[in-house]
Amino acid sequence: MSEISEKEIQENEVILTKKDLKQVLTRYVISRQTCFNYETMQSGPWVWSMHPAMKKIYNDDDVLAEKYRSYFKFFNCHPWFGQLILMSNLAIESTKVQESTETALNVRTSLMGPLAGLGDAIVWVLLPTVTGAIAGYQAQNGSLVGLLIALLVNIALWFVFWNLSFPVYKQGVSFITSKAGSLRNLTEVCSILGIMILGAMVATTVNVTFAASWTVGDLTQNLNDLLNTIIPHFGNVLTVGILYWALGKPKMKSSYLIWIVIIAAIVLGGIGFLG
Amino acid sequence: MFTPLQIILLALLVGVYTWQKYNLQMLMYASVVLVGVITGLIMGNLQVGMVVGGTLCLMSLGLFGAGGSSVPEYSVGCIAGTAFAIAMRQSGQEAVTTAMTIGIPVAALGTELDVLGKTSGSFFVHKMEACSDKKDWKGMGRWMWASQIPFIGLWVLPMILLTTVGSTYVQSFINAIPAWLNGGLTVASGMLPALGFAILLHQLPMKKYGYFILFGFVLAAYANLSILAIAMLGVIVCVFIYQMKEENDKRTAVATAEVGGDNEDE
Repeated sequence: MSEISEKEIQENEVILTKKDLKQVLTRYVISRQTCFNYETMQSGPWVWSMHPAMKKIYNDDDVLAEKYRSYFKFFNCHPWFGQLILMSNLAIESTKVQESTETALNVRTSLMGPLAGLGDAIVWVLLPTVTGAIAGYQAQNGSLVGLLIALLVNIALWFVFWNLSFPVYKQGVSFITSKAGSLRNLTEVCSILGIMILGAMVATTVNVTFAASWTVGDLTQNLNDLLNTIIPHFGNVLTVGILYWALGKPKMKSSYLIWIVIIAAIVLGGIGFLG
Repeated sequence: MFTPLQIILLALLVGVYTWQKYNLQMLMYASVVLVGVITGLIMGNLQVGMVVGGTLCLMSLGLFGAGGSSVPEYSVGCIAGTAFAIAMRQSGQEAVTTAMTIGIPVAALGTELDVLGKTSGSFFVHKMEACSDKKDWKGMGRWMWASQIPFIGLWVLPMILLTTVGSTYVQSFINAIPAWLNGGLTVASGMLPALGFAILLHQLPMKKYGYFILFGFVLAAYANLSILAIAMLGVIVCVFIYQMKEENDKRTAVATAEVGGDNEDE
């Protein structure tokens, strides 16, 4: 966009008010994964959400129809970061320069991958696993404090993203791209934290114990105790290891594997090997 | 078995939950516990709702549909399981076993329902595109919302069938289950969290940072620390690594700038 003069931008620019942005955001958060499909993924609600703002900027139905043809193309990101990308795209469209839609689409495509990674790591891996584990254990013991904590974390983070959306529009793409390096590092360390917490949960949340035992002379030996002297929670480690390996097989899908696990558990539990 | 009001409220709960899971996403953390509690309130036994919600929540950890993938849906499983356990006037461990017997297969079938819903999405997005070409903006919105008929209906309809015509069948099925199958389901409840973790590990950079799994495991298995304590220790380690990486990037940036400057001098 550097070749476009400041003057040209200022002449045509339509500045969206906070009210306009709120309208777009509200549309986006209530609809962002409706029409989800395997061809264009989240593009449908994207267009519907941006429509009021685009109408204010261009006020020409023919232009809009033409532009939407591009916006209907593939888009998929973590939904919470999707709203930030939408805001950055509106910032570019507001300039009303010739190439605005092309630029906006380039930004959309280049940001969706990295931001999806970060969103998945924080919003869908780290926080739900930790808060879910706490809420689950506490609920089992008859307390709802854990659930309240989980919901508070969820709602607070939701509003952080809502409030972040406005500065993203004001500062445009630079807001996100200036932090690209930091975002990559943040994603990496969040992934590390995720791996660590999963390591802990292999020990605490998974529960696979061997019920098999045998008697040699006077001595009854229990398979579970024996294996746990090698490594604690041996059954858990083994189960996660086998499932991790099985999922790495090219033809294996998690939707098959869940049935395999259920059947294996019923059979192995039924014959008294596991318990 | 279920009063008309309960049938409506349960269907409504499934519908609102499904919509918010895809779109609003404001109540998705520990949502299995949340829907368990709400189902408990609808059915008039909060205690069972809490315990079942907690148990199924632990099984659901680590499952999330990244990049459009489909995973088991324990929240809807929890609603169905809790509703039947309470309707059959069970409590304690018996209720949990009944809820698992119904909830786990429902959760597993959820994977297929999710795929079906997302397959239907293509039709609606093409209708939206057609409206957009005709500059029919109202129609575009209508077709977008119409996609929610399969997306939400796919979950609500089975729930209604389950609580109306299906309820007697489910009840006699539960009563006919032999003890060994109950034992097997308890084993499954301990084993299924492992599946969520295995799926999640495949989405994390295991090749590069896989050894960190030992750190968490040792803290939990040998040092017996709680998850929250391990998470806090993990944050310390990760903030440190983050700072190192940031400084490293800065140094690289400065170095590159200096090299660039030298070239200009020449």
